[in-house]
Amino acid sequence: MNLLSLSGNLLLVSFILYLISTAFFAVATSGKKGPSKSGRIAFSLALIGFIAQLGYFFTRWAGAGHAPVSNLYEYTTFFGMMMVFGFLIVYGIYRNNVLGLIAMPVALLVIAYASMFPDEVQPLIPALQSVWLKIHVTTAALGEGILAVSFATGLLYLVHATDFSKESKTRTWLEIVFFTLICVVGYIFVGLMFKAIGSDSTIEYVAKNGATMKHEYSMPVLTGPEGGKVLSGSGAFVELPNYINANKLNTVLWSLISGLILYVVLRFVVFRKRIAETLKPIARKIDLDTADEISYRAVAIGLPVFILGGLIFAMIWAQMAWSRYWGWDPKEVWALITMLFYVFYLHMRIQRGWVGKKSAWLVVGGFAVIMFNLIFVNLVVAGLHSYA
Amino acid sequence: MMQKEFKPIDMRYEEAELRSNRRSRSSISRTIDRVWAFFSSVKVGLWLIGLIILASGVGTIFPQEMYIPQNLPPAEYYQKEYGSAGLLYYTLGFHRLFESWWYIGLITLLLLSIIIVSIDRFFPLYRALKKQPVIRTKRFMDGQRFGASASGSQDQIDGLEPLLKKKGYKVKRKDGALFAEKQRFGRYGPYINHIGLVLFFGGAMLRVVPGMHADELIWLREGDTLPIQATDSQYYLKSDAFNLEFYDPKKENAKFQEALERAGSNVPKNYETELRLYERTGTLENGKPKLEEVKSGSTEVNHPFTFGDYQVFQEQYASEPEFISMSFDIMNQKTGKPVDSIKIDLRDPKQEYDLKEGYKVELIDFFPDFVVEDGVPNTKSARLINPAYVFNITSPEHPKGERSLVGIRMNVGGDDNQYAMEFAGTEFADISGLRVKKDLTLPFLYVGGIIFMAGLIIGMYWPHRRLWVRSENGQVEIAGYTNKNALALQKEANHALTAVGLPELEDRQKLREEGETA
Repeated sequence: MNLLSLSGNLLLVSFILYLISTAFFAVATSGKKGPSKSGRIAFSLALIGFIAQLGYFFTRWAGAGHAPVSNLYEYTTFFGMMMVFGFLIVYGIYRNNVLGLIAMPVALLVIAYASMFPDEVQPLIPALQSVWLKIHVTTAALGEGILAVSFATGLLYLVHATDFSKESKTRTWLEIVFFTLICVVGYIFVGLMFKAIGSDSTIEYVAKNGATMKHEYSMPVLTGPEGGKVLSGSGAFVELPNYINANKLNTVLWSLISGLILYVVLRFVVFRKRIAETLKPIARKIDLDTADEISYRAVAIGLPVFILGGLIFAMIWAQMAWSRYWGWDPKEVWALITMLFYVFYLHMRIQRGWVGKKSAWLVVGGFAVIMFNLIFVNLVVAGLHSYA
Repeated sequence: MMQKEFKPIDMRYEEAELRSNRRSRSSISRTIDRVWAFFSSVKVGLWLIGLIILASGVGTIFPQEMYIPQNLPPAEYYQKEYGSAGLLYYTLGFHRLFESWWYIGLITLLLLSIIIVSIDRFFPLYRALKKQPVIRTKRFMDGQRFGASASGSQDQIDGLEPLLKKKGYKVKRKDGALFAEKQRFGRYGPYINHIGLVLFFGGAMLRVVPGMHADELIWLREGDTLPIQATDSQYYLKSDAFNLEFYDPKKENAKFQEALERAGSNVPKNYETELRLYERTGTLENGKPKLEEVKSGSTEVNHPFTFGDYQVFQEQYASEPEFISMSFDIMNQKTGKPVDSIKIDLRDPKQEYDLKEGYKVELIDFFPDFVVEDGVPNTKSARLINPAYVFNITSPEHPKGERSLVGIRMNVGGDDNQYAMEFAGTEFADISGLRVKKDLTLPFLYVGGIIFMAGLIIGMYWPHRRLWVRSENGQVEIAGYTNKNALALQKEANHALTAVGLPELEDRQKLREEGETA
């Protein structure tokens, strides 16, 4: 048990270090151009944080007896760690502080999101008892982590290249991207808040197939199942037909509400301008060509790693465990879509000269596909990979 | 020096003539030209990729037919589970999207496009790169993205040769001009990648060739021996035992306790079938196959049992075990004492069971999976899950016999009888769902996958770099080319150029853009 609590503490340490690192990146980018002392401190903190998180990973491995990539909590945490790793590599090449100011918060957000899932160690079901668990999952996550760096630079490119004084599609869509990120913050925020004050409810209902089922809510119930019976906690605000999962919708609604409140406060009270626009002075410090090149190189490195881990190793293992290398399981299909999407990006860029803004939008879209596969496919579309 | 106007040359195919740009005279050839040009268009290929992405996404909105429970007709299931949207999904055939003619058609068109575009580009490119002249035209030199021009001497050019060779360039000379090149094969990366892809899909399609692929699900009861149809019943499998183990929250390591309690239901730890493989070597006199044991072992998840080209996978198991035998006492209800007992082997039930003098039990009817349908007894399936029997007991007192319907916790029509069947005991057997597979296409997929990755990596990480230098009337003209990572080429070339006192390469594209914005 000692190893596991040590592991938890190391993760907390790394999280705090990443936070402080982000603050130092903010200081480094608010000053004059070029590598500064605070930039070096920020990088060192991120590096130490990464080492602490490696410590989390291996102590949990030793404590659980298997590589900690076997459920959504572990995978998402590891994915955040790989994002930091991808960023550290790119920082090593380009020494760009502005990138840190975007990449680190996104990684922090991913790790915080992971903490919303049950974090106790689970024993492995037979299908997961294989060396391919660590090989397939870690390689896929590494690829996705590196690809996420291209999202950070793509976003920077777009903020830099957008004229916020004029109405444009880019301006609108950029704001939607930031609103989505704020909704994730909102989700984590209300999740922690309701956990702290204890707002659990249980509602019993009759499912479509006639079986009696239970929804366990961790947030106050806005949407409940039709004809639900409250076993504990509060009743539903609105009852919904049973082919809609009222519990999941409830979580989405709370994320949207909290995201909206947060957004309105930031946009109209704190900054008094578009969220994307507030980043413009920082984004301007990254040269457009450099941002474009980093995002391309991140794809050039990340995509082969992702294909190897997320498709080839995946197929080898699927053949061994499920007797077929390909079975059109939603997770498999979305891994294929991820690959095709970046293949589309590469051909557009190389063959049809899509550089700059169009290219940046594509890498932002690629990250959306990755996150969709991580969150939506696991939580909403049930399949063989629903290990949460 | 004043910057001349930069007219970039499209270097992707070295200005080679592509088949797709050809226009023939006769109408038939023109049609072929058009088809060829259509498929060799990258634009068409990208459209196909876009459509496949869209279609694949649609295919994950609701589960595909193969992943839904089997106990309901699909049409009913989709409507019940997902409402009218589900019904629409079913009606449009999206429940079998990945097997649909149009989805397979899209993939086939994409493959065709990849093959044709590769042939169209590769051969002209290969020929052009094979016989590159050392001395290039002025238009060509000025059309390169990187270049420089300055007064200089032949000695300086000669001095470049050893420096570039040291950097791994192959250097060719002609009439004092210099041509340096490295990593030309990097240009072939995409084509190698495409070959791997075609090999992969071609291999997967070989599945339709008879003998390449076999797939069979066998439900095997403990103790049973069944033929493997996928081997034309050449081989038989026997299950000695099926072992299923669950994580026990009390016995398991304390660290897993919380997770196991959260899971609620039993979490399987391991399941495996102990197998014996027999080969049929002939036929016995009674018509049964003569079997010889070939191999024994076990199959568990992630560790299939292998023989020849076949693998036996532990895929699933029946949630409830089946009955293999049931024992009954024949009770005299008047005295309350049993007269005799029988044991029915459910895999091979007899029609008559002779008891002690004067007594007999006839098995009139047998239902393996008993159900009453429209008031009539029937069986739901052939599986031995809920056996029921119609018995006729003959006794000295009742020579014609007394009938009763007996099942689990059920005895119909037996109350008034003198003799009744009373349940005395049972034996169960677990049933293991085994997947027998043969797939001779796998080597093609492996080789295809390796070539795919190799091509991807070659294309991504081995940039093709070239440098042309020549002098005319005391003026040295330099041109540089790379297909990837412009900064690295500049760094490498500039290092050599400055060492002999020549100017550094300029990025003409950037200069032009800056000129435009200024």
